[in-house]
Amino acid sequence: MGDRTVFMQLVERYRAPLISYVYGLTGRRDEAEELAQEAFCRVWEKLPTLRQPERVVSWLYPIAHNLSVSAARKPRLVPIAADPPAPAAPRADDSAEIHRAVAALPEDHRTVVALRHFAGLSHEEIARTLEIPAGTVRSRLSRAYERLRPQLAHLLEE
Amino acid sequence: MPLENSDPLERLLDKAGRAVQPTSPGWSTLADRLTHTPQHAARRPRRWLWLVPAPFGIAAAVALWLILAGGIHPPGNPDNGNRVQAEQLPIRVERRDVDLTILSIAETDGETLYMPQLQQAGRPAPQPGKRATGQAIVKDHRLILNLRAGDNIVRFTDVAATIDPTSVRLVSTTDPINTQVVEQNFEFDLASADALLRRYIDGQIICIFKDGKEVTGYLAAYDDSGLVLAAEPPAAAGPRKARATQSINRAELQALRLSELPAELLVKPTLVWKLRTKVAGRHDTTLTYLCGLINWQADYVVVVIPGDGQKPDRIDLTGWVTIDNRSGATYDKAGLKLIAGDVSRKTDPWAVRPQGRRQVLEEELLDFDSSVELRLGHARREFVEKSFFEYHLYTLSAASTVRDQQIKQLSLLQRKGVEAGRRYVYDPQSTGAAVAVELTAKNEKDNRLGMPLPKGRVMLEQRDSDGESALVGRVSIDHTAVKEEIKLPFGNAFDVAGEFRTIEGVQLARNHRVETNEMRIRNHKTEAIHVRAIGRLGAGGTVTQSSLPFQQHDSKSVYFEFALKANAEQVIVYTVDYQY
Repeated sequence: MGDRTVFMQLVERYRAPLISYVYGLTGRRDEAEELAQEAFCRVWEKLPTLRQPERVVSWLYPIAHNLSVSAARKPRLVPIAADPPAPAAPRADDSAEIHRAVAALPEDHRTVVALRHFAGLSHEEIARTLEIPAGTVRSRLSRAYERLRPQLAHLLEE
Repeated sequence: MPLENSDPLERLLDKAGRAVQPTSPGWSTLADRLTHTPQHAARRPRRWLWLVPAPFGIAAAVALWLILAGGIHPPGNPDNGNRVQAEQLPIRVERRDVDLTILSIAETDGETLYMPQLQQAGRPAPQPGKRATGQAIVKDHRLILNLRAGDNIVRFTDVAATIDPTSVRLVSTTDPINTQVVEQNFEFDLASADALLRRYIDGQIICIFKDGKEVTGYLAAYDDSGLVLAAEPPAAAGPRKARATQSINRAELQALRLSELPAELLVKPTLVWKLRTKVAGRHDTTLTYLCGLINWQADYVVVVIPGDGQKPDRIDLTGWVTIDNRSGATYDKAGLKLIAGDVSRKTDPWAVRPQGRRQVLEEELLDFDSSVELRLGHARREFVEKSFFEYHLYTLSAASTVRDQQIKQLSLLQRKGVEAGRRYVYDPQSTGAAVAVELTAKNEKDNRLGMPLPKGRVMLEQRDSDGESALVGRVSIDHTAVKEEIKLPFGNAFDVAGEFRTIEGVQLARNHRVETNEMRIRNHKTEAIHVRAIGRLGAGGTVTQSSLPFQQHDSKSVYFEFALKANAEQVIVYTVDYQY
């Protein structure tokens, strides 16, 4: 509790999943990292008030969610392209859509997918991080893939 | 990242994972940030506190149930759909929403707009080129209730005081074909002491003095200092005869009593239409007009984080848009659009030139508005489309209220860790011996930018080793499109010197001369620098020989770009052939 080194290890592990989550919510990659950093700072600020510090990760996502919603509500000037939109062409980067789909998963599914594919952890590492059996990690991943597959089917047809 | 997966979905997720790997420099300073972030003290759980708001929640639920089940309806539902009843009710106008498109022009000439109310109020219209005025297109969506089939008199208030009445258009979106404005008036004779007295010339007034004495008479004349009262009213007919008059100093008066407020005087500027329609009842309408004295500009703060030779310089860029509204109207929850760009003053030679004060700019703006497009000729529309593409349009992601006499600031962008280059510019024939330092940053997505940046002022700050920022200058940037280079002049270099001389000049003929010039640039710094040396050619000059490769900047100048090592000198010799 309050140990900055331990907290930075948590940051190290969860920053990519959190960037993905914010990116999925806002669709703005450039803002996602700043919002994710802000979410970590907010959690750090309130860490001593947390009754179950071991559940700090379940705090992260709602805080990041609220920050993303506030950022989206804040009036912001955005440029409008003067040129007409180009005809539909194959997209070079579909990552925004993928992150949006992952962000919409239930929390336990989202966490394992993000730790596996965005933080690059093995099943065993995820099991140790979340303190759940490796079999549960596999079954959650499998169910998450089942949910994602129809949503991202059009991106899989290659 | 996990090992390459055979499942396409897993491969797709791995690929997406690569797009969210941290790149922001903020992560490396997060640990320091946490050190400076105070943590909240741990608190004791208050287990029963959640019960406190329960009575309020129950009360709210009961109230909601009463409203839903008891048939309590919100008052003033405008659309009852009963047209027979509508014909008996007075015409009402309700404001729905408003869109505001503000044009950024550094020097909008005041005569572009005809602003009679402003002139009547004694505020002189801005002189052309003297000061920034700004212009905006207002699209005001209003609901007109209880219109009758046939002719109606409709009054719109709450329009800008700086409205150009010649630009006003009203379109009924409910029935655009069968609804037309037969007559339009802008009434701006607002109730003021002078306006009232003007109406009471030859009318009876009562002057009440500070000592309580009252004098009744007929107002013969007035000015700022006094009134002239006649004892009798003027003769209605027949020869004029002399009347006894009395002069009264206005400073001695406590009050003037008038019998009534003239009906034609208004409290607010008002647009009055005679509106003819075949469809009675409710009409959705769009009112479009131009108004003046509303402007916007961009302001930036750039914090320079110097590199250390290994790492490049970085900048944190914050952009703000400042809207200055002095148009005399408040735009409540307005959809806001800002147009940036230097407005072309070219005119379409085939278009009918507007009469009087309306100029091409105003037509371009109105043509841009789709609701007015039908009224304008095809040739002119084409012309406008081309012109419009010279601009950049910014819109606000949410509605915002712009109040009268208000300066409003909105965030344009906030970017951290933008990579910037430092370039030393030596331009001896233009700026003398000094070598200017210029920060350059590519306006690209890969460099955390990639949005068109409107012209604006820049406050330059530099972060020192303690992490504190100090103001180092104020500069300006021009409109910078995506993929272009942002240039920030950063002052003159101390450790870089330049020298220029013409080493040979030969007049070959009366209109033919050849000159050989030499530039020497010395770097006294302990690190290598990137230099751009500019050679001015003048009219008719061509570089025929040079000791370094050069780029033609324009017809009158070339530049040499090179890296200059620490404590080194670069000599450039080039020959210019002038034929004039």
